[in-house]
Amino acid sequence: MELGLLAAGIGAGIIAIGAGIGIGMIGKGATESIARQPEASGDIRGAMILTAAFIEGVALIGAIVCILLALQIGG
Amino acid sequence: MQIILRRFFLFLLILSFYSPGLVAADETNESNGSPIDVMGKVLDHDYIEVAGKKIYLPRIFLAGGQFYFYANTESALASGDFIVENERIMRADGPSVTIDFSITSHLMYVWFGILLTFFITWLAARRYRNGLGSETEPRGVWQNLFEVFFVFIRDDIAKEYIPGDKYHKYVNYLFSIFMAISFMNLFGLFPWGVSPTADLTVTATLAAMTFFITQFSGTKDHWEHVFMFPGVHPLVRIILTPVEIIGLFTKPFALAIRLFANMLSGKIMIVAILGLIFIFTDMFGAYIGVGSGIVWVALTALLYVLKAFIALLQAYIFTLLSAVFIGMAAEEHHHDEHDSSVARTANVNV
Amino acid sequence: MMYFLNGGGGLLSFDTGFAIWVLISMLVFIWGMGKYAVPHIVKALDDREKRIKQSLESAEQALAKAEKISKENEKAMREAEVKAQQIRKEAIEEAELLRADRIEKAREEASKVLQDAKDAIEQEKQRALIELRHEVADLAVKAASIIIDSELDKDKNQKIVEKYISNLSKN
Repeated sequence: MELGLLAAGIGAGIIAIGAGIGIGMIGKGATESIARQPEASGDIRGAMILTAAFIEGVALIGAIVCILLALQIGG
Repeated sequence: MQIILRRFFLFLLILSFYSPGLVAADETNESNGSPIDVMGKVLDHDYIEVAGKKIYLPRIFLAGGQFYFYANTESALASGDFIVENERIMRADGPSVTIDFSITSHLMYVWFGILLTFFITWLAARRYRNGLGSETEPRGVWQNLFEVFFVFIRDDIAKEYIPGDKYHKYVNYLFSIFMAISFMNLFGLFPWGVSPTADLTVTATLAAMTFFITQFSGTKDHWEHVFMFPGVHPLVRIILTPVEIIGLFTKPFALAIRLFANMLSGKIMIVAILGLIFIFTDMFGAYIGVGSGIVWVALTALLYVLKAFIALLQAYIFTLLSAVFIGMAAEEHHHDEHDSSVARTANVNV
Repeated sequence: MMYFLNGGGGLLSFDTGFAIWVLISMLVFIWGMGKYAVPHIVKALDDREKRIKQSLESAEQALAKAEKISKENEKAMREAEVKAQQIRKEAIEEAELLRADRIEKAREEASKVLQDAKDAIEQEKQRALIELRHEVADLAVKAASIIIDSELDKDKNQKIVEKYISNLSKN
């Protein structure tokens, strides 16, 4: 039972790492391209939000699995 | 006017901080002693709460090929036709409920969302039909705000991602779901309000609508690209065709899960952070619990701002991706032209 | 799980009855929007855009016309200016020419007058010189005769004096 909670916690942490790396790379790419081409900043920002939303979606699926796991075991 | 509005929203905000406390107090008294019921705030219910009072909604069951209507759960159980077995509602004489058509809180909020959208759009349409906005400039804050959203959907989403003149057909759908999803998402910010988009059933239904519209607007080229890859070796097709067919279904699936997960996580986070007050009260006593409440309430206020932003952002992303999928299906590929242009340049090079 | 009692699905479950409700609601909603609301707005916006486009176009045309006219005017003005400048320049040149001519003439006249005066002075000088010479010769002769009267013969002395004077004038 405790191991299940541990698994949920570790899973959430790994999701945070993965999503953080992904969104960080998007942010890096976006800021670099905005610095290179400030006139295209609007398009780049739109693409950045869209891609970040993709990553966020995947991360949230994982987060929900972890929440379910924790609630199933703990609650 | 502004001051009144500000006070009203401030009041709502304060009330929204208040409600989990009341619910938690209720729950702790009757259930298993867990200080706050996170899932209870997230799941669907057979009542809607208005100012802390529960209004029970009608239950409709299809069981054994017959419809049963009841004013609420209690009357359904009191009638004797239905009993609770394994925490599910069952017919008293055996067969389980085939389809549960009950009106639930999430369904009520779906209806609120679409009615609000329709009402606003209808009002705007009446204004435009009267010549205000079509012959003159749009007047007033609300009409301008409405037009900002409408033109945004039409120009930046529909026109941008759906090729050619085909986008005209989809403006209605895209605008409707954008506004409806926005309102449904934002309802979750109101006290006692729930966002029905934090329910997988709602988002899955919306995604299914996008899926069917996408498939019905698919051109010959689209289907050719799904099943037969022109100019690809037959052996590669064996791998690519299943991948493409699976891709048809994963796209709306991801669409549904994304919206659902975003809304649900926002809700759970707010309930969980506010729940820390009660957890702290349980662990360290009332004074520390209430004292630390300042921190949690401030954090929740920040989360509220984030959630309001995410509510609009997710509605935008759902609409945008719908438009992108429809646009991908409706696109006409021009292989012949492309090939001949390549040939022309090749000739020039020779 | 108590929650199935409440109707609707669980957290991650799909509830058919609820989905049918939502689907029907959404279909009616989108049909209603497509019939009563959105087309009017689209039409109004399209009309407005068309009108704005038309008025912009006509404004642009008017602007182009005005620009053309003003350009023509400017061209004509510039031509007139060029012409005026040319005329002025020609006049100045002519005047210059005339002035130079007159100055030349005046200078010539002046130099002629000067030359005449110089000539006259020269003549007068010659005449005065000759006269002076005669006078001096006479005076010398007179003086010499007075001397010679007392000493020598007059003719011989005259010759000596004349010789002396002609030498003097040569020097």
